[in-house]
Amino acid sequence: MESRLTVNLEKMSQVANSALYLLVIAFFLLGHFMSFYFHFLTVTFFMLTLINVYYLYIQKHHALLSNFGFMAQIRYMIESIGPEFRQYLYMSDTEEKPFNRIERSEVYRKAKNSDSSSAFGSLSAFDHREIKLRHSMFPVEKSTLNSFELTFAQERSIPNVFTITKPFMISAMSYGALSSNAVRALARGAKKSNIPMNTGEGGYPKHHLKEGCDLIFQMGTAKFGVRNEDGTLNDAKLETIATLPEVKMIEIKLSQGAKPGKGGLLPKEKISEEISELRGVPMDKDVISPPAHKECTSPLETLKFIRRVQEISQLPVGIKLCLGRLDEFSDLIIKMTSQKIHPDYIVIDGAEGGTGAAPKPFMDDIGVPIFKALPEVQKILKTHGLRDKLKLIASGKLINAGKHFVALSLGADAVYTARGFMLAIGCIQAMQCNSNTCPVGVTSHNPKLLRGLDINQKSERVANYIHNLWHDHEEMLASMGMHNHQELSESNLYIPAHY
Amino acid sequence: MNKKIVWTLQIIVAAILLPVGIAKFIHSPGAVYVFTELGMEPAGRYIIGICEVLSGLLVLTEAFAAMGAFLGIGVMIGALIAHTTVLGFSVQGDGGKHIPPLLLVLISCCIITWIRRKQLPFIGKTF
Ligand SMILES: Cc1cc2nc3c(=O)[nH]c(=O)nc-3n(C[C@H](O)[C@H](O)[C@H](O)COP(=O)(O)O)c2cc1C
Repeated sequence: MESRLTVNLEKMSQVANSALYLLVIAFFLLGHFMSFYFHFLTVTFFMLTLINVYYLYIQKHHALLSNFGFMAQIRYMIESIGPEFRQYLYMSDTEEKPFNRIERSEVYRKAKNSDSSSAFGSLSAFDHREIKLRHSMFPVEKSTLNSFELTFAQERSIPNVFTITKPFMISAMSYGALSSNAVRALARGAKKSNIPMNTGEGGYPKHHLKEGCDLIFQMGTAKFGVRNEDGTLNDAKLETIATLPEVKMIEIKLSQGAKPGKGGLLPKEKISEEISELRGVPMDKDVISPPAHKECTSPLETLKFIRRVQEISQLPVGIKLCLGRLDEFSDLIIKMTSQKIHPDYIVIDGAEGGTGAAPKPFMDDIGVPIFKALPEVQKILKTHGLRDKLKLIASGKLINAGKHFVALSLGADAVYTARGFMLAIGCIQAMQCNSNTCPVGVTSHNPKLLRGLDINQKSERVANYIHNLWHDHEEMLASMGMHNHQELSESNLYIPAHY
Repeated sequence: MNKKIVWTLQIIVAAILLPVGIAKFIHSPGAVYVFTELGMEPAGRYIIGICEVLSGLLVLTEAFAAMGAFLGIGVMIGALIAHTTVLGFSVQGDGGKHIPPLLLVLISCCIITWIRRKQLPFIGKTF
């Protein structure tokens, strides 16, 4: 004998489906004998029944609806709010991806300038898989630290070198991926804190320019904003952008960690008049971002292209790539040495990098993660004598000072973060950057959703985040017994054997 | 093609529902008689009047026509129930002249709702 009571959802739905018919009859009788007002319910339930009959007997798309009727819709409805419920209630602080709640709230706290101390103990896993920093037995006084300075294109002795005074910058995010308010909040925050912001590959930086911060103009593989109709470089347009006083450097994007070796397609439906103008593309045609620049067909051609951009722009010029095949990368570096052409900086974007939209296999499975890529890049650059001729920038989930220090110790001169700054302006990791529904208006162009993103308020958050990151930098540097970021090296790291 | 049909039907529905809806607000004797018979005077008359006017207005829009027609179906089913159970088809000896327009609205609303089913809020995408 079965003595346990169980919930049988199948039975429940059968009962519910029959109850619908019975309710129609019951309300009809009430309406007839008690009060005609009951017929409001008769009609309502009659129409519900009609819909249920459609689900049960007419539609053929969903087996669940055919078998269980409207009760299956309840399942779908509850399922559809699952992500929110998991995030609010059930997911542990260390579980979420790409950034768990601890990581996110650290950024939020910095951005809101609230107390940053925690109690009792670390919540991160001490499973001996993570790289840790080695402190010094003889910490130094914070007041004895030297200020940070990194000058791009110093080695080429051009007139327009560019110096940054903090070792972190806002990574590429295009207007298009980001909303206008988000771009302006970031740009205003960058201006307040005097750090540069990368424009991303969104073409002419109209919204960035409104705030007057230092800009790094990025040229994607479609060369939005500086392209000819066939996708090749338009020298005159590049020159115009390069002469804008705010534009301090030019970055040629070869690839990106979230979708290395993959181009993209800008569907014509998304090309508004503004986008068409800023990006320099026609409104009536889909525009293809090729997987690589048209000019860059071989290492030599790539170098020629870099030289061409350096000559037209007269600015420091960098390249951004996600590390893929080592032989190719070595080859490119060897050619740089032999041709005496090199970019003024290289950005290594880790495979863990973010994006507005990319195909899943590219996000998940292609490219080398940043902490693995950096030592390899560093080694190749050193072997070929190029390390002190250019600067190295790292990116890929480097959203707190600890991660910054690991990257700097592994060879980077500075770091970039994109999503760190998105979090600072209120990103709640709703994972909807590609659907124009971002609930906090960071990536949505819907005016109703943009409303919530107050530019001035959020720019203050950006400035706070930068300020507090810098505070951590100084504290950590002092505890490691150093006076300069340049002293950081691999010997400051504890790297687990099987890392 | 569908667009022409559906708009013709929408205009027919509005042309019938708006006057009868408004008649319920200006205490037209016919309406008062009917709702007295149903035991819903005067609140029920106003509620149904609101529903009819709302439905008549919504079917004149592109975005909300499906909603209006869906509401129209509900009101017409209610009216059918009233005629079959309480009033009889001929009201005050008028020989049942209410019935053809009633059926016309009901059928039109069904067709409009079906053609525009994707526009129904919330449940629309399930059809
Ligand atoms: C919404 C969004 C848009 C992005 N747009 C660009 C872009 O236009 N060009 C580019 O090179 N990288 C783009 N990226 C990648 C970032 O610049 C960065 O390389 C990557 O996200 C790694 O940094 P993070 O982990 O700190 O976010 C984008 C990332 C995000 C999240």
